Amino acid sequence: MKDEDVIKRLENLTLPDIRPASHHSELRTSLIENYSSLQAGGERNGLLSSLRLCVEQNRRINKVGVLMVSVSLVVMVVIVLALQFTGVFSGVSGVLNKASAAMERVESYRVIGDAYNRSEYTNNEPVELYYYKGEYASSDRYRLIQKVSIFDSEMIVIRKQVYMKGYAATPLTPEQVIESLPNKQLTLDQLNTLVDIKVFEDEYIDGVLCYHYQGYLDVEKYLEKMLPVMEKNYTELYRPFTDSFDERYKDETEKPVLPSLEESVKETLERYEERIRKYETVIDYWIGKEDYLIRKEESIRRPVSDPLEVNEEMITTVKYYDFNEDIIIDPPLTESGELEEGWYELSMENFGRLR
Amino acid sequence: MNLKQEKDLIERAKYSSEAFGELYDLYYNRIFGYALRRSADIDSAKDITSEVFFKALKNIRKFRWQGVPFSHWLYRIANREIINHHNNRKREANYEAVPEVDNPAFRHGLAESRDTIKVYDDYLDLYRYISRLSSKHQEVIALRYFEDLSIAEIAGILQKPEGTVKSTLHRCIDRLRKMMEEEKGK
Repeated sequence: MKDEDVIKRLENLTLPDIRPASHHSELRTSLIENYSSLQAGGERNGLLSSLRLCVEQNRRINKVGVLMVSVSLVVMVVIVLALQFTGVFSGVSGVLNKASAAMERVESYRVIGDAYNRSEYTNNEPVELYYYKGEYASSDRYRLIQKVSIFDSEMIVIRKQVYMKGYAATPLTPEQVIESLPNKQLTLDQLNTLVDIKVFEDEYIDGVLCYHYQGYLDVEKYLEKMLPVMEKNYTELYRPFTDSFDERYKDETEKPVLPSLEESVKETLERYEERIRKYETVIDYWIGKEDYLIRKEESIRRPVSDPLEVNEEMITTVKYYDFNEDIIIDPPLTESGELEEGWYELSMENFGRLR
Repeated sequence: MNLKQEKDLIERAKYSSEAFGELYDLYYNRIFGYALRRSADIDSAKDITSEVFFKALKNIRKFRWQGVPFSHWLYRIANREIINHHNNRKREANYEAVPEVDNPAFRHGLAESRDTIKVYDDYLDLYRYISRLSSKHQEVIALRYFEDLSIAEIAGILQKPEGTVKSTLHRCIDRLRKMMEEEKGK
């Protein structure tokens, strides 16, 4: 037997196709009757029992309630239309474009951030995941300090030289380090794919009056932008290992069969894509009203509309400051030019260079 | 109904029972059919379908339009419900891991809607093998061959890259073939 035979059998199956009219109408009645209470988180078991027992009696739909909801919707539509005519929305894209341009022009800056988890497991109390601080002298000269749980790690990038400390102990995988390097480019990648933008009242952030916008990350646009970047990053990350592997096993017959560089990169990319698609992300930005620089970014990531997933959210906050100040980044070397204790050095073309 | 119309209907269904009723009518047959073909049991299919729409209603205000058909979301809920239902049945009645597809009630139910039960024999025979696959593998097979969906659509529902779906499908077919050969050899 061949695989094709199995496929042929599957394709030619006559499948059961029953339309249980009574179940259809009984379930429909029960859902409509309990529409409001189910949405309000009504008692589940009782309602399910009633669904299963196929309650036959129709209750009158609360027409007043439906009318009130309809009136509210009309009022909301009128407000949205009014805002559009007064130019509130049309101004948003202008501000975002200016913010993007202003941040592109920034050479040096500092950034601090943290991430928390909040879920039913933690009674919706926030639990810290990690903290980080970054100092960027330029796009290829920066220092990053990360703290995950009790593990501290530090990375200094000076062009293609990458100095690392503490990463052997940190629970972060190298892929996670690469994917989450907090920097203005990552912020701009997200900003430029924002959809369904809402405008809030201006707010002060660190003494600077800011616009406050909120929107959703457009996953497709974001992936279109990020997949080529990640492919390059993963390739640079894995290349030294596969190269050393090739050198170690000169004799092809002794060489264990492992995925090629391309295969490893492809698999990691697939996992990355899968992860990004799994979540929806709502992001708030606070943008300086005078200089259009982004002062703060706060994102909430949650599983995409899946009622059966645990309602888990990850809240990440990033704050930018010290724009275009002199920031000195030196390699971690002793006076005699040796690496300081605990540090190791890698040479990775492109890895450290931010786009 | 095109995607734009469907999006409008979903937005209305978040606040209107009538609109939710329209959505329900649109998808009931599809979800019931999927549950039936996945469970090979009419009562189970009814229970699963009830749970799917109960959860859809409870969570519809959280639903965010992603530019793909609403059915993708319903299929995802159905996949979870099918696993839950199967686990519950195993727990509650020491139910066998491999469902008894030859049960008379199922055949009787099928016979009610069609004149003959013979036409489903091949399905029931194949179902014996499919039900021995992991639930994730069953999902891929069912969406591809029972629901006749494209690889891209399955990837959208399962939120996996198309390449992963293709390789999973290939592994499923290979596993089914081996099971059939093993049984033939006995």
